[in-house]
Amino acid sequence: MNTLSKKSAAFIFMAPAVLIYTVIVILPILISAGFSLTNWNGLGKMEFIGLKNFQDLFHDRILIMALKNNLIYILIVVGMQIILGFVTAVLLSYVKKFRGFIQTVYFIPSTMSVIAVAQLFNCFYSVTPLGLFNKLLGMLDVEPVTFLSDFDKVLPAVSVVEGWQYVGIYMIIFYSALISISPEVIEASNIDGANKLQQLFIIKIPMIKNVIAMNFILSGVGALKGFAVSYNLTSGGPSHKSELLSTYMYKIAFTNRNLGYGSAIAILIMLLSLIFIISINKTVRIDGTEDS
Amino acid sequence: MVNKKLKKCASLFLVMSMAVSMFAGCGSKNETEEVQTTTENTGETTEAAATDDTAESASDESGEVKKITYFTPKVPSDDVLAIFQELAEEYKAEGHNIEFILETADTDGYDQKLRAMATANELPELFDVDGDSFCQELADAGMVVDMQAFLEEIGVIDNFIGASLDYIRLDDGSLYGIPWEFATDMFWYDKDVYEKYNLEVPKTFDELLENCRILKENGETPIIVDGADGWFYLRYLAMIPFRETGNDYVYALKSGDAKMSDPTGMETLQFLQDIGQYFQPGCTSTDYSTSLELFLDGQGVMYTAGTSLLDSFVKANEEGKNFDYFYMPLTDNAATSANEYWVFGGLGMAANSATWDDDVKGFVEYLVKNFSEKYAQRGHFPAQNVEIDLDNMDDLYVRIANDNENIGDVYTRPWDIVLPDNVTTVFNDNIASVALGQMKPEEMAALVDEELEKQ
Repeated sequence: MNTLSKKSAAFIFMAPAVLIYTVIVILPILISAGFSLTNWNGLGKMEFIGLKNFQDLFHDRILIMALKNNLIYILIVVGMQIILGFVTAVLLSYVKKFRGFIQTVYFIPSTMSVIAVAQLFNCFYSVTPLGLFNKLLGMLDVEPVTFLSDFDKVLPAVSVVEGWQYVGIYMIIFYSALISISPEVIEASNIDGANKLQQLFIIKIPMIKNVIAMNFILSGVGALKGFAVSYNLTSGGPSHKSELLSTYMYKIAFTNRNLGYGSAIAILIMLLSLIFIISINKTVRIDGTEDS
Repeated sequence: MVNKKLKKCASLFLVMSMAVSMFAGCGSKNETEEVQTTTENTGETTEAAATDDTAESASDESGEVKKITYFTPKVPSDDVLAIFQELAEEYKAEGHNIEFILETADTDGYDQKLRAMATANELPELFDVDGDSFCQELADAGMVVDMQAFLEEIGVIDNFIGASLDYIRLDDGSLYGIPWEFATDMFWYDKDVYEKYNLEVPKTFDELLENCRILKENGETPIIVDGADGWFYLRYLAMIPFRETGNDYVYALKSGDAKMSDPTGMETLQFLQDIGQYFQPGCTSTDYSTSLELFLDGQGVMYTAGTSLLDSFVKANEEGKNFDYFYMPLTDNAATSANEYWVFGGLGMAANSATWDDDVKGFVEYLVKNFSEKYAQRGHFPAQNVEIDLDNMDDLYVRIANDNENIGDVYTRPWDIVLPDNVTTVFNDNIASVALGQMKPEEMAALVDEELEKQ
């Protein structure tokens, strides 16, 4: 105990992790920030242009569309992951038999490669040949739906995939939080005459609000950085209707080879993530104290 | 007290061990070796540093194995790759200490990874290029070997079919890739379905659209497309301008002397929208291999594809299908003739100038001198002239070989190769919407013109 209380020992133990974090996370961010001040195609000369790339962000019609799409994407993904994750966790806490099996089944999609999941849903959404969803619609006498070509349907169709894939992770986190609530508190509420719903909303949810906030942050930031599903399913199309900030950044940086402007978009994504985290933290502080 | 000190020391020791092992792990990737390379520009032997991954020094005398990595977007089942691997084994059997490493990636992944490699100055020994703006940038940076000079040096340049070489040449005529195939593109169609509805092979685009209308009215899917890839739509977009102007219009777009909103541009965008209604439903999620499977399975009547897929159609005909082909139709006022259409050399093999040593050079020379005959034996058309025994070939192959003998002087240039990357991106992002009727041709033209103005 005396060893750990000394500041020097604390610094020594933290040093490797801080060093790795600096090299893998902080340094690339700084380098990217440097690139964002230049006009560079990756091969030729790097030309310093100051904040021009950031000025161009405000006039970029496609970037603004991608930002709007990302907000809708976040709403759908976070909504699915948090709500479905929480509901399944609550239901799981009441299950006595086969709990382990159900947990595993719900968790399996989270362990799958995102490319595989995207290909799976590509087949599900397919019209030619008829995919699973359109076959089910056919049984209900509904015409096939071009989920991935329709301007109005493509973004929700893409969002649902990521939302679905990681429900299992949030289910596990919520479940762990729910079962860690002291049984004595639940017993006391039983004695006071509270029913299951009252226990859930008045006791359990307030007691795990830090976990809920943390999940919002994880889910929200994950959705803000969402890339693989959209890129693999539709490449952000048709006509940018499923374009996200990260897919647009990728195309600008690696297809158009405009590394300077692509880096500026990457910095924007980072800043938006920070704003999101700070907002959630301000609403519910993770350390357990509440905002007045 | 002594125990506490011992514990402290043990803790410190563990932390330091972890830190040292971390540094050791990071360090091994950055070791460099000095190797001798021959630069493309001076022809002199210079010493250059190369990364650990690409330049283990190798010589037949020392017995060390020279690793030659070839990075390509070709599918692993491609006969070109199979023949390369065969030839690599034969080359090794002749006593050359090389290890041929084949690295493949899908088309999108290949482009991004190659660009990242170029930026990091870590190109593999061999990789594939098109004659596009990226290849030009690599050439300007001195990162690729002058293949014109190399092919002249080894005395094979005259063996190559001019059209194959021209496909990969840059605008200034320079050559940085070696083509391996001579491929032509055409419309493949199900003859039985055509006969069922008494349709004639279309000679003009109007006749093609009329055939599509009749097929659709009868419940058929007229055309199967690889709708997931923008370049597929660009093939359709390029046809009418090629018929009316040759390649003048696309090069005028590139140079700024023409706009997409010009009459030629608007005509071809309208054509794409007209024909797009005859593509299979949900085509935007159909990738290249799925589109081929759909057509071979009889899910559609027509499909544009090149002779690189000839063996698929030959095999399908042997199994009972009745596929045939026709070339790009004409317009009423065509400036190009019926025997002028799509000709491809396929992707060209480029070489990293930083690792272009005698080992790599010798191996590529072996490939160039021994590839074409093997490729022809497998029912393909190689980029070099070889004697082909047509008596043993399928009827489709024989007819196409005869067509190749009579091909014209002008070949359609792919728009995704001629136009700058940012303009191609605009096409790739939006062209499907035009084909599906979700975006007006005028809107598409405006987007393209806006991007062209940035050049």
